[in-house]
Amino acid sequence: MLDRIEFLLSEAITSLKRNNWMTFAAINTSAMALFILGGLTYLYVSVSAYAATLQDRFEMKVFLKEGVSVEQKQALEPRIKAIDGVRSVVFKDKATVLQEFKRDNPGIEMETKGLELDNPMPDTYVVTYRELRKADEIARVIAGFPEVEPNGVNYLADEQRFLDQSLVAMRWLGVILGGVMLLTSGVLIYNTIRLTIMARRREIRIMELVGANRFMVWTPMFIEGVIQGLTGGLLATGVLFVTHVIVGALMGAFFRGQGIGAFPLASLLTWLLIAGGLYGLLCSYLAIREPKRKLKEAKA
Amino acid sequence: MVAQQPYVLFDRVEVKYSETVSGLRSVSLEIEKGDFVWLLGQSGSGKSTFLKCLTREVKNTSGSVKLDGRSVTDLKRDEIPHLRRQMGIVPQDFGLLPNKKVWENLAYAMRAVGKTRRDVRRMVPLILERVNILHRADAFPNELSGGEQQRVAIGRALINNPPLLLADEPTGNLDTAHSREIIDLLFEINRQHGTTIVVATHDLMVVREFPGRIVNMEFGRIRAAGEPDEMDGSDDGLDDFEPVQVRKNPLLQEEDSRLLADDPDFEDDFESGNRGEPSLNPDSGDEKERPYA
Repeated sequence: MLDRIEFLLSEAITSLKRNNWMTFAAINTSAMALFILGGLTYLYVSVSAYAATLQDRFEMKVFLKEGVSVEQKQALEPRIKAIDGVRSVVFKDKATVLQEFKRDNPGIEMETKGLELDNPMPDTYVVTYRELRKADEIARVIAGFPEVEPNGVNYLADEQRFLDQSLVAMRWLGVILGGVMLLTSGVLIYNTIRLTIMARRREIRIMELVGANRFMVWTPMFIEGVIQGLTGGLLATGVLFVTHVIVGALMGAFFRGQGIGAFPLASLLTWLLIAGGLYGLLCSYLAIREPKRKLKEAKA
Repeated sequence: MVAQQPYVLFDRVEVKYSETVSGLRSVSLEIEKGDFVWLLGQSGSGKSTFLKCLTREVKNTSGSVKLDGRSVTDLKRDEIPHLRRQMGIVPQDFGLLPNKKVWENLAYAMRAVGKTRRDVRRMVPLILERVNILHRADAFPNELSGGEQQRVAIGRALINNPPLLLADEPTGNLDTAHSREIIDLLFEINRQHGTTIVVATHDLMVVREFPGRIVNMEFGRIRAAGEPDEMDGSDDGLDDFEPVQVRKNPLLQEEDSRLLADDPDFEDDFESGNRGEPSLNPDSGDEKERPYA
């Protein structure tokens, strides 16, 4: 058994050496593709996680009209809560709002002095939500309630929209760039295997003549594709790690010691190796399938 | 009592490559274990197709091919490697790997069929000695003469210790002296180990010089079959075994027409015996026509 494995591996390695430049190109392009895909996925996940923490800070202030009764105010709370995407609703009366305003603006005591007697602040509902992208829709529904002041829904619409659109753009960029690179690397792996088949046609013929089974004849090509994909995955992880370290150091320098989180080396390495290996296997299969089919047609 | 089946049985075997081109036409033949059989015929006579039917490189269109009582025709694709391990195949072009030494050529083939390193170390010298090429074990194929290369090819065909050996034009690329050596070697294998041997050849001189059963093939059919003494004086086709027969071969008429269209002088050259180019052999690719006697 070990003898067979050793034979198959040595055949694959011989082929890789034989097509050295093509192998080099295939491995590097796979690494690039996986770097872009893996890197952007990692970035997307990181920014999404960061955005999720921001969502707790993003809130919507809903100002109520003067003269809304206590019953009306109480009835409004469950209606807001019922809107899709709303996480929490907290009521703050005028006095609390004024108190917080004073606390947040310590330099204007003179201007706010005596306002308690004729409090201009409205009763307010503070609404938080689960997803940034739902903020506009939630705001639109709330603004439609009669108890709410005209233009009485206040939130950082532009900032939230920008963050949300950045995430979407990042996702599409990853899909398109990574897809193109993945396709290119796939074509290169496919071509390398085809070249191998051409270069090894004598060996294949001899193997078939002496009665080697299909496993022994074709497995080295599968191994070759998998090695290319795995090496690409390994390289991509290495480059990502280096990028992470550099970005971390830069962020540390510019943002007063605030670096980035730990690099998920084990999980990223595992996923990129699995992706690279499977991709190499798929490309080899396609490359082998084609000549075998043609061979069959020629014989028929 | 059940009659014993012949070792190799061809029963009304037809091979059609296309609507107009046939490889074999209703060929029936029995070969017993231990026989030495010459498949004699010109290019395009069906010799190679006959061998390919046995190795299942070609599947017969109709009829039945059996080896040791088992149908070759009905074998599934996965069973073909097993069939090929029951036979040794010596291809016309030797099929040696140029970047491997003589012993490595055998070792490679042995490893490919799953033999261990220990098997290789033990068997390779024995096989090389058996085909008298052990002294050139460390040479590369391009350092060997044609006869020596053919010995290596025969040695490689013996790695599975097969009861059947098929050789396609084993003397085709050799001079007379080397041809004799190779045929002697095949007879030695036949005598010493009882190996059934089928040799496809167009070389009438070699066939006349050695014993063995002759199967004369023509236009994809068997014209005559028997021992040389049985065939003397009969209509065995050996006496009129001349290149001009190629002209009559209906299997090749389509090819002839194309050649005539491509080369207007071809017909004149053909009539005057100038047969240097081009080849008319559909089996042997770019192989040139050779003199028959």
